[in-house]
Amino acid sequence: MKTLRLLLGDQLNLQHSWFKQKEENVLYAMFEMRQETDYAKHHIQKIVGFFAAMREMADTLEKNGHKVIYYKINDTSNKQDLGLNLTQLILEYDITHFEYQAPDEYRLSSQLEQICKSLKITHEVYTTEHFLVSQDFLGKMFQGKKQVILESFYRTVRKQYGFLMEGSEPEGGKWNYDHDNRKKWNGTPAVPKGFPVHNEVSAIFEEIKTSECVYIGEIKPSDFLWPINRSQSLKVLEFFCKEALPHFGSFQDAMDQKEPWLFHSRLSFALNTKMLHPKEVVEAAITAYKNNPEAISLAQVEGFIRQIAGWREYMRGIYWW
Amino acid sequence: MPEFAKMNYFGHERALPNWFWTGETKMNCLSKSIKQSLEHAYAHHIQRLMVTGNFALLAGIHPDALDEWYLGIYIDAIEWVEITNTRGMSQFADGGIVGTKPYVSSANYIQKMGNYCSNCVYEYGKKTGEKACPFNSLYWRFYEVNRPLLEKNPRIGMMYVTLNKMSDTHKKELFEQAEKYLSGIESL
Ligand code: SF4
Repeated sequence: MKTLRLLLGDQLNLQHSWFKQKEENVLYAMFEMRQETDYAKHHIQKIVGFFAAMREMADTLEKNGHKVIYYKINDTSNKQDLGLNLTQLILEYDITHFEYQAPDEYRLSSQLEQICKSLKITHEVYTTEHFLVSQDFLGKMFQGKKQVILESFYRTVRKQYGFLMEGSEPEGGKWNYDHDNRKKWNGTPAVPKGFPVHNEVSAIFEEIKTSECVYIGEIKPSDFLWPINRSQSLKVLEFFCKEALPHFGSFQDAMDQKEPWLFHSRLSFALNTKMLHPKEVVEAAITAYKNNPEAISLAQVEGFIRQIAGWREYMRGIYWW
Repeated sequence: MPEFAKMNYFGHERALPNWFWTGETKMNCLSKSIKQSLEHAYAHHIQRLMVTGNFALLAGIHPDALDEWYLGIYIDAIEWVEITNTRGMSQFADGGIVGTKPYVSSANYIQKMGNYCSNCVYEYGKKTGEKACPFNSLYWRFYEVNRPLLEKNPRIGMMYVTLNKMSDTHKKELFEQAEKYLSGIESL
């Protein structure tokens, strides 16, 4: 029996239980495809970021002894379509079983269901093991309801994971410190300096240009500021907790015409590609707060956790409702 | 819910102004937020919600066009998180599944939370007349036009009390100003 396992561009979770063991008969597949670059007019940094992070993931898997088939955007064998690429590999490698992780989008979810219907081999769907709230639990919370209030959703997650909890009570006695978090920023405190990630991505950028896919926006390929692998993502997390978290909450609503990042975490790309797990992100913020409560107040850390454990998970619940 | 992608509570139809793709507008908050997005594939949530999203909702931009823009321009945008934030939270196109009221504001909020207004061609304190900030008249027009859908919302009721108290002359000036801006939206 030979198994093919698909990894999509936003399924870069190296901690997934799939990778606990090296298996002789398992082949991983990753594709850079026009079907993904072309479903919207994407920013060039988005295309570069996804491809770069996918390549890093493939490299790491190979180094760890897994077998990976990777199609780059300009590879001649790349059919640029998920169904065609999968069928091709299944034939080429005598695959007898197909596995994938449930996509986060309807678009890919229904495409994969269709593909599986047409395949002559068995298949199985796994979870991405990424979100704090499981699909089952989302079902229980949302099904049959007329409205699910963010606040009660958020409290359920806090209780379930014990984030900032003292028994069954929220730490500090309040669930919500939003009122302390509505400040304008007038130049002080200084915004964090020394962002830890600077990537050289010229080669990928050239390949994308050659591929002729349409894109918008600008890029500085010699200094790409988004993390493209797990260790860089962890560095951004560390940087955030140390440098920005002390003021995150206070200035989370502030806008400045010269400072795009202010005290924001810059973790959304690492999170949405699943290079980081929301639990480790929340726990890192809580640890930073516990270790240095003088610098990081409860309001700052609660404001951040509300975004990750509340808002982000809630949006997913609404989407799949 | 897959229907989410089709929801358009206010029936908005207007095309996205071309300057959304370039940042070439005299409105400094929009210009800076869009140019920053083009430079970094990023804007933080208040820029997305209270500058670009706010303007689009006040101007009645079709949510499809806006979704496409948000989905493309931001490095973190994947449909599950983009569409719920854009159509739901920001545009209220879902009629209140995600939020309880539309997130709109006049120039007042943008001025309060940022420093765009001090470098702007428009005057944030002015509602009508030359150089009046477009957000101000569009804001009141939005409530007037959508009265049947919003007036009964308990979280909004107060706005209509204020609007109803305005003199007819003032209202006329406001709405004329708003229509003038909308018909010249490409050159705002
Ligand atoms: S005056 Fe109006 S258009 Fe100009 S920056 Fe302020 S809110 Fe934006």
